Amino acid sequence: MAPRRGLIALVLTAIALVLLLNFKTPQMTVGFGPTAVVAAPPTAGLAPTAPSSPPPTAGPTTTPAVAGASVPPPASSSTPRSPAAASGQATGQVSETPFGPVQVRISYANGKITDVIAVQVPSDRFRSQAIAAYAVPILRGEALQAQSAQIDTVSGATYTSEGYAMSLQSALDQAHL
Amino acid sequence: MCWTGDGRHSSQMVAVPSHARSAAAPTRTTIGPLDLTLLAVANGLLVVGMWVRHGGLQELATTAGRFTAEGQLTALLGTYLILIQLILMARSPWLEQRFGMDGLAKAHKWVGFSAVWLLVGHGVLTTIGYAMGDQQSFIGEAWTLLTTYPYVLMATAGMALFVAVGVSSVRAVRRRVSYETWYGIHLYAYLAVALAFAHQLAVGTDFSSDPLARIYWITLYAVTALLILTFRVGQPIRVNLRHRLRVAQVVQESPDVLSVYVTGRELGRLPVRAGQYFTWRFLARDGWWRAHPYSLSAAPNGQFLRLTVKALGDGSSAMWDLTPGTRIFVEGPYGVLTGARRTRQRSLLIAGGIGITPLRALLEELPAPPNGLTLLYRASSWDDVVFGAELDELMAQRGAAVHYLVGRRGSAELPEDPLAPDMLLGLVPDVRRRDVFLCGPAPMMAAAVASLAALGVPPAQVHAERFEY
Repeated sequence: MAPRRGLIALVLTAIALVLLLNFKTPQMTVGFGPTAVVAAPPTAGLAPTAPSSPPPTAGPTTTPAVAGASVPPPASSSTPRSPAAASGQATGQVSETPFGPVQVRISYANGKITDVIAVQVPSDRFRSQAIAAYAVPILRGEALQAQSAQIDTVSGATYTSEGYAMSLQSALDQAHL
Repeated sequence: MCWTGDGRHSSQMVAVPSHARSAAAPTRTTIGPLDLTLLAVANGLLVVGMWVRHGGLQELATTAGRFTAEGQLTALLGTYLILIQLILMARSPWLEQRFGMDGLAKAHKWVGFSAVWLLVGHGVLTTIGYAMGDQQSFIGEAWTLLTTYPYVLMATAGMALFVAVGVSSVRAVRRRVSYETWYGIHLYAYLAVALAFAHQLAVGTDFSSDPLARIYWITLYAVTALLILTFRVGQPIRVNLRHRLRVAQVVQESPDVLSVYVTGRELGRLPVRAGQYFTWRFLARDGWWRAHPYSLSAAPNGQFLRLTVKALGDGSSAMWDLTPGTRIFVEGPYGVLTGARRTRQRSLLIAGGIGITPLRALLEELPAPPNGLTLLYRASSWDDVVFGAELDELMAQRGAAVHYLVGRRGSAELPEDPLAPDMLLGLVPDVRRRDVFLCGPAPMMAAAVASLAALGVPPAQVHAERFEY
């Protein structure tokens, strides 16, 4: 009868609900907001998760990597004095896109780019974070390959790609590469 | 359909003086139905404005962006309509007295189907837009969204529940499922609203970066929740704790019609009047889970309430076995078919079958100037006529006229449609100068309304409420 069916429905609903609530996506552990990208699964090229760029070499380095994309380091604080400066780091200018700022920092050694870190990526909405998380590693790979800012646009991430290239060019200019 | 009384007890009942109870007189404020409709539209525009402010129009530039932006707009509007849905059904007397429960139910139906389509559109459009951006297949993108975007899986479950509610309300399906099943499925709409909420704030483009939009959105939800808690939960609990209604007596009116007499505490302070109805839940061993709307079939008198039921269906036949003392849980009173709607001195009541019940109560309460209170009682057979003795008594006491229009249309007994314009005019020559109160099966009501329109009775004088669930 109806009450029994109702009870069965209630129990099934409760079970389904418990299962649903126990399902966690990676980002959920952090909560909402722009910091989410920071704790996203470690993707190469995103600022704080990239310890791959130790700044051991003497020279014009910026302040140590700032913990958190939302706190950008002072822009263009690193200007190598000699054009021949073989290695160091340089932070590009902030490039504004309709979805938020893009800023990269490069590490270089012997006149070659050794790493590119995205210091800032558009993060005001979850979708932007998701795009950045997927586009930035591709852009980094392209930049390392091309050894210049002449990199292809990642489809679906046009603005981020353009901003990335602009900031990268600015960093390269500073490093006189 | 409406519901119905008892000849044997009529003299006793009618003897109870019927105070013209005005406790539930609808408050006449300056806020009318149009203002509330405008408020709803204005908020809808605000929601669209929010989308524009957050770059919705710029995104239309690219194909992927267009899908994404449209997916966003459908999400906002669909969710807004869902909140409207909850408010329409919150049993708020402010809305009910202005639109009538039948008006609200009708709006609920159309707003509901629109909302479900918008939400389905949101899911599909957003997935397409993202898939194009990511150069993924639709299925691949859907999988990405479900497994990596926070709370999207929950929201998708919520959308599936909304779709289930919509499907169960499609006429063809609705006819095949019981009222209880349909109602039970409808309860899942609340769960669906809760499931969908988190993903709006977590991944909703409009809310992740705009605190103002976030506050506005949460306020909309809070107002909706407050209305539901106040009128769907708080009000019934308060009424039932105060009045503690019980079955006093069950009386047979006709072969298939029974009346339940109900007593309780402080009934004189129950703000109900003739023409209104409650949703009744008899807390008996069998049938406590059923709640059905029945009109009062006698004007409230401070001593007892009475409802009259054509007890044939699955739930209502159990009412024959109700024993005195059975506790009752009611929700209400609802309904706008009351004397408060009166615009004229004289009234005409047109009842069809068991639709006599609220009109029988009104017959007791409406003013009865000389030759100014008439009842047309349409029934397909004399077996279906109830309250015969009561009506005779009321006629005598109040000077009311009752015309029985009994028989199948086109039969020898009733060769012409008794509700055709010329017949109506013959029975009630001054019908244009009367308020007309109608209750009966939907086809009969439609026919009567058409006849009244043909006779030039102003629509503002025609008062009908449909009870269809």
